[in-house]
Amino acid sequence: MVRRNLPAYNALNMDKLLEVNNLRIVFEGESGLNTAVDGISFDLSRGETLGIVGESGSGKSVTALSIMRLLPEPPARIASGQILFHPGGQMQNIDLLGLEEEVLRSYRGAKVSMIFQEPMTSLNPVFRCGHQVTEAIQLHQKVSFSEAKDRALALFERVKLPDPARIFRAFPHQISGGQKQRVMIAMAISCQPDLLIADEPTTALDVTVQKAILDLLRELREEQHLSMMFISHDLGVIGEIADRAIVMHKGKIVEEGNVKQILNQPRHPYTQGLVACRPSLHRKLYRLATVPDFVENGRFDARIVSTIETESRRKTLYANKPVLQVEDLVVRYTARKNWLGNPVE
Amino acid sequence: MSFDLFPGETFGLAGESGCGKTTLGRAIAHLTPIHAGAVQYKEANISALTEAAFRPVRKDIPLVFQDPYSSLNPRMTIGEAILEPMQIHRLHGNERTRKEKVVDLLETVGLTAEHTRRYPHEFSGGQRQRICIARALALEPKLVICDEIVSALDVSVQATVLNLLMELQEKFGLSYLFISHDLSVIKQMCDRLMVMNRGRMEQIGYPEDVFARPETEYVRNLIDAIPGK
Repeated sequence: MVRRNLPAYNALNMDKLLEVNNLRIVFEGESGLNTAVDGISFDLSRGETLGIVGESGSGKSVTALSIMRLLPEPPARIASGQILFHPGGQMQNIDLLGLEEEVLRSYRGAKVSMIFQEPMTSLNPVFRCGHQVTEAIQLHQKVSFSEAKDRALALFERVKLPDPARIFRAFPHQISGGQKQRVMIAMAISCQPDLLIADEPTTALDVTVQKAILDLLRELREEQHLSMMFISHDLGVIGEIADRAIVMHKGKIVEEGNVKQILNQPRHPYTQGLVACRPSLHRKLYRLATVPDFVENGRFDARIVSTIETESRRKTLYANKPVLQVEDLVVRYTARKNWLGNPVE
Repeated sequence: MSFDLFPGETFGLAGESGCGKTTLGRAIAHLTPIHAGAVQYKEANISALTEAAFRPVRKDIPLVFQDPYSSLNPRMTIGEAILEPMQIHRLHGNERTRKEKVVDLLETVGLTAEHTRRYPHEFSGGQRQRICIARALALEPKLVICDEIVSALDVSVQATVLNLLMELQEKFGLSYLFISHDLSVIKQMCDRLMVMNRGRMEQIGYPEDVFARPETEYVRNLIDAIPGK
């Protein structure tokens, strides 16, 4: 893993980019008020990657959307709090929650951009990938189409898309999930934002593709001095990419700290449960730990299945006759058939 | 593609999307026609059976799918959903004993009799997956095909569902064909595993052997890519 130890960088690290103070977001529904985010505060330094971990419903995505001001209001309502963005230099701090829609548009995408879990649904299916990226570029920068196209192709090259010219002309359904996520990343970094919010960007992808995307994000972060907010339910992924992490549970921050410390010595019982309930590659347990084991009982059954037990289990298992035998199975799908219904080679 | 599955065993099928693991599961359950080869269940060839002749076998080999939201009929109460397969296969004598069995099954998977009158939307993802498991168990199966059964669930919920599967195996001597893209889940759950790629077998063996000695480039890359090893 790449570690940033450059002295100049450390100096920059002192510099805050984003500050969230006592943010409280409620949803107004038929059954009354629902608090999604309950008075959370955190900050993000320039050049830092902050991981936000939590399960579904913990409020992590709502927090991210509120920073982008993309929450549908109503039903969502920001009950209290401040989201301060520090553009740096002599520029004034901006409270994002007080911005007019028109001003917001110049900041969204240009200063802060976001990538989502579902690259399939974040790209418009009726436009070619190239069009969607040039559109984003031309929206924020006064450049001609041909220049925007050159930039888009350079971006495609940078996010390591194979054959940029082909992808430029392709519709979203013609490229793979990983490639779509790369197009999204190209779009997100097209205006050199200060902050990239990544909301579960690798959750829908295969592990090998996930690894490639994480590698790419790490590289871009170095190159562009990008600050990142990386949201995931997967502590393993957070451990790969974040410097610092906050753990959210039911709209509150239950733990905050260095990623290594959170993974290796979690302090809050909820975090302990979250870390322990992931199946490990190094040991096989009789029973996986669960979050209630920690939150309610404060302990769990950590008995490991020993090699001797595994051996004896195997002895009994494989002494039997097999219940199912699959022999030289071939399944073929025919993509095309001729008029008579016979497959076309 | 050839392999055997033993009574009480959990056999893992690992691979990336499009590798054919789901198709293999469906082919075994007679849901996809096969081109060549055979599937033998209890030493009888079941792949050549007609749909009607396969029906008694189907009850022994139910499937549980990834998405607990789309695999339950939203207009059927949970009680009805679990009752239905038993009615179709005429199990457990009469309607009354079947209904008692429904309550039994709900308790087995950690729910209660009160849940019978509720509808799927009133349950969380983890609870719905428990309901799908109860529905599969209603058939008193021998082999359950679990297709990405915990992939849509939060990690903490995932652990409780995996624990349930291990308990049920102990209790009923079930075999599982456990299909998953997540190698750490496979490692915890499976007695043996097979890695697939592009419809072919890459490697088959005990989990510790596959992890320690990947035989092909593909398997090595797959193991290397696991986040937070």
